Amino acid sequence: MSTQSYAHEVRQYTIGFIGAAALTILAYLSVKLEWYDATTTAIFVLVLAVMQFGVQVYYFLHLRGEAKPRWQSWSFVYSMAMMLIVVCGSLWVMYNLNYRMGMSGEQMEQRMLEENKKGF
Amino acid sequence: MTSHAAHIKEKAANATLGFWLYLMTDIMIFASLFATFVILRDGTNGGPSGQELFNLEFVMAETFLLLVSSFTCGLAYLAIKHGQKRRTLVLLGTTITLGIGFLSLELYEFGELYLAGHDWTHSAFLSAFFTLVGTHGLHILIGIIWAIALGDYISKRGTTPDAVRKFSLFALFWHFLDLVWIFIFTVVYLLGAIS
Repeated sequence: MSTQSYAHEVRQYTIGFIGAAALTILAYLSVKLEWYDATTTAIFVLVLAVMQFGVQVYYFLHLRGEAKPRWQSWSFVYSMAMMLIVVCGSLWVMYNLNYRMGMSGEQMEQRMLEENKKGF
Repeated sequence: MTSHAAHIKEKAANATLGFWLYLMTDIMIFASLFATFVILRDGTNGGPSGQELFNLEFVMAETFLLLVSSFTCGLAYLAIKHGQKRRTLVLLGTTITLGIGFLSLELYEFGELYLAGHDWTHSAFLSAFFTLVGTHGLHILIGIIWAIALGDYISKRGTTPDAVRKFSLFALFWHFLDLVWIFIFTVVYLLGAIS
């Protein structure tokens, strides 16, 4: 392998590292300095996390340019889909449960606390 | 290409795919732990919430230790691929040191919480927190042990094709752990500090 490609690869990692660091600092500052209201900040930092995920998968894990049949890429896509189903599905179920009990998650927590105090 | 070289290449490709599939199942472990945490994060049982417990500056230090170690791990992989034994060992040593630094900070944080009476038995929120972050920490510990064994192997055998293959799997593992940490940092600590 030539030194040219070595330098190129190091540069790729450096780009990934700087990108990840910048996104981390941005997320931290947006929370610390309260740039936006609570909901917007929450969405903002989640978007930054997904962006950083993309940056690291691309520059560190090298999930690109894989030769067919692309086992790695497709198993990755499958895992991502399963992960979203598990996480979003669980949240949906619990939200729906609280909704049908006629209260928010916080009220449910309050209610359970009171029931706990009464003892079983 | 000689058949020997072809054999080594195929072995490396198979090992990478096998290890990759393990990582994909590990994603499912973390996915279920994340789902549990997000659902139970309000279940503080009258105790403190994340907002009162977590110190963002401290967590930023952890985050950067892990991010830099992920970077040096990648550089070490490039070095071993290009047969630079000395540079590989120096970079791997840096990765290990940063990893130990990260783990020490995490254990210190756990210790502080425990001593303040905020242990995992107190509330659903704290149980979920310790399980999620602790599982990641356990992975890091295994990674550190693996890296030390790998450093020993490379220092004895040099940058052989087998060493490169072993190192590529460790690099995947270590980068994967930093990926998981992005979401722990965001979901547990940043979102915890907002609400």
